[in-house]
Amino acid sequence: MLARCFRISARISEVDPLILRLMAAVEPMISAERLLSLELAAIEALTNVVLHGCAGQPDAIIQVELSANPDGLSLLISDPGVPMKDGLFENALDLDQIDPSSESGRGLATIKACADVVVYTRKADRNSLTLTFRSGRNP
Amino acid sequence: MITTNYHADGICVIAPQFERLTAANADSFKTEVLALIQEGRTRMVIDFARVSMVDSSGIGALVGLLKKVGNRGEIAISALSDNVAQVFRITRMDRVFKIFPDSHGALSSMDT
Repeated sequence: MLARCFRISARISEVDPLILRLMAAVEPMISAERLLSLELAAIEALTNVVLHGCAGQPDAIIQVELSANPDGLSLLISDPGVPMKDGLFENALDLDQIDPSSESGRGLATIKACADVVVYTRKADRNSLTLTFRSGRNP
Repeated sequence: MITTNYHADGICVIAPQFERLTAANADSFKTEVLALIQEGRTRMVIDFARVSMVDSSGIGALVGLLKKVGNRGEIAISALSDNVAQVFRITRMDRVFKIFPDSHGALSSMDT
């Protein structure tokens, strides 16, 4: 199993550079279409952490662990921000349910649409969000 | 961050000069285009030829611009990369925006 770890501080300007490093690491291991799903889900998840979970904590460290196995890839995103509400992902609207004229509120739905499995846990005062991307599925 | 090209029929072609429209720059992009709308430019093509990735913040900015123009004008989108076109499909924005392969096609459509 391959594993790599990335870290950034909770600043929005750091999200895209991390995503580019992450994509460079993932690209040889995944189809172009799955690569887009992973990239989009990762952007949305990290943006949520920076803008919501770690809002006002620009020096908080966000960690992204990439692991690969024969069935696909997973990202474990952990941060010391405020806990997510219970059932946040389970209760999030699907993209078809979101008002097309809404200017916000698509992040969670996009993560759900792009990742095969989304698991949130809170341990030792850190949020952990695991996104799993199986080989061969597209949103 | 954007370049603008004005056509005789009043249509403004806006070309973002960045590769990624994400939470890092969506607000500043929206502010730049809103300034054009406030100048009375309400018919515009946003040409994404240089843009390789858009996230939900970028989509939100585009929706905000579309709402700002409202029925006073129109916004067309052109030259989406495969990835950006897929983001539009995932977020259902392919049902909201008029999308053309290139800016010439968008301009032709708006001429009629």
